[in-house]
Amino acid sequence: MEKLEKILHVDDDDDIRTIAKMTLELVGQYHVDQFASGPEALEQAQACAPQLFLLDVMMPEMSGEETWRRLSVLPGLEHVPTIFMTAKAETQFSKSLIEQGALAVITKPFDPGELCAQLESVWQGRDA
Amino acid sequence: MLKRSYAGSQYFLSQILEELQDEVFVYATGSLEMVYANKAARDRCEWSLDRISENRIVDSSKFFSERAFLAHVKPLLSGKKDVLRIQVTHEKGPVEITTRLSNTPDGDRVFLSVLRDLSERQRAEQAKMDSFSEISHELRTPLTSIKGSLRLLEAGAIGSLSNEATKVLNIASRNTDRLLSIVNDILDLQKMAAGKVDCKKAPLDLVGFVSDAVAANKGYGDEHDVRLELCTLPDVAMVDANGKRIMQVMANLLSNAIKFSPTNESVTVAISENALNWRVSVRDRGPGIPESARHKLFESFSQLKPEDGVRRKGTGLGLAIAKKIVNMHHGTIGFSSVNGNGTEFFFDLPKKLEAAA
Repeated sequence: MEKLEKILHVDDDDDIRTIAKMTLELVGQYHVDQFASGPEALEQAQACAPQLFLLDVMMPEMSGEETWRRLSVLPGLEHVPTIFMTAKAETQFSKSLIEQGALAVITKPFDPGELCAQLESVWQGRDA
Repeated sequence: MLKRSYAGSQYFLSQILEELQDEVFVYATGSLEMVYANKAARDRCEWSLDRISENRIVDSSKFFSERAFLAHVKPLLSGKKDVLRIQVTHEKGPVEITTRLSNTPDGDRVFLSVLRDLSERQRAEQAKMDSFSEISHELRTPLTSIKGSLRLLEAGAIGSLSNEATKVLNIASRNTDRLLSIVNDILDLQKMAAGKVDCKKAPLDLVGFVSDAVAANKGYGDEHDVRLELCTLPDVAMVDANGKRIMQVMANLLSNAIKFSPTNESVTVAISENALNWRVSVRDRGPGIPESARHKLFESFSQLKPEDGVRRKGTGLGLAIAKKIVNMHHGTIGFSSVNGNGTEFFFDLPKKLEAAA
């Protein structure tokens, strides 16, 4: 099975980006490309060639869902799975993201100790 | 000055009825022909007052099903019920219709239905939910950064810390978790108050369930040197319940009992029954609940100051949530307590009626 190494992370909150980067790099040993908004991510995504999208949901300019829709039509990135991270604690909402094809929805606050293990288990459990 | 009674003033009363914003329909029980409809009802149905009897209640909405209606009013006609209440979706959106029987001055039996528009109420509820969701997001985003930073420090991922620094870090970390549980509890309560909680029920055997709950909370007992004991249980105790939500109630009662138990004492869990209900009870040997605090125990943020003066950790919302959950199951929650001699909390859930085999 393909090993998870490269993650593309989008979150509009500077502090959360810092924490997530430290966690993913220090604990998970992943390579992480980060963007503060959907449009920035869309511009650079193909060059990054990520294996996984990790997306915040509520962002001012372009929502996480919209970012996901646009990322997933970029040539070469059609099959990159997506995990959402959201502070919206509504099961109904998470359910609908999963139904639309998201790999998982992780609720914020995430625990840095567990985040990488969560990503790893979702990664290994994916169908593709 | 409005001194005289208007009870006898026919004109005044009929005018109020005419101008009521709710739609009012009066129609014959047998033929379902209209006897009266107030202005709001006539305007929507495009009926005229003079020729009202040319219409039947069936014509009041294109969604009206005569068969469904006749089934709906059966308990009214048989005298089993005095009033019927139903929520349906209508041309106008969601509406609530109440129907009862009445008599005309000539002694004819008629149905009296009042139709109330619920769309405004639903919009208000939706707006309320949206703002909860907003608040949740606003509180959780900074908490994510705080919790994340603290965990990274604790894990030693950033470098090693002195003992003193670790101590302070632990305090910050514990209180962040506490703040987060309060945020979660408040949201849970508000969602329940708005009726937005998914409470799908399924057959549940309380016997196995209670054993699972005890196993799941054993660790917390160990931390406080309190044993959890199961009394002799019945073979089976079936109810219709949402397992996840009732587990939340169990976890709350068990953690309360553990917190208030003297060390090396035990907390006992039992299942008993009466004709209609199964009762799950959780008993501790703690200080008991002072008389003065008993009446507000199930209110939000009513964490009590126990007789022994020792403060316990908690959000002060656990029992309020437990009560809401038990109520959603048409059950009751309560307690009995003797000062200095422990407390027993219990909840009753209606027995699941077994279909005859």
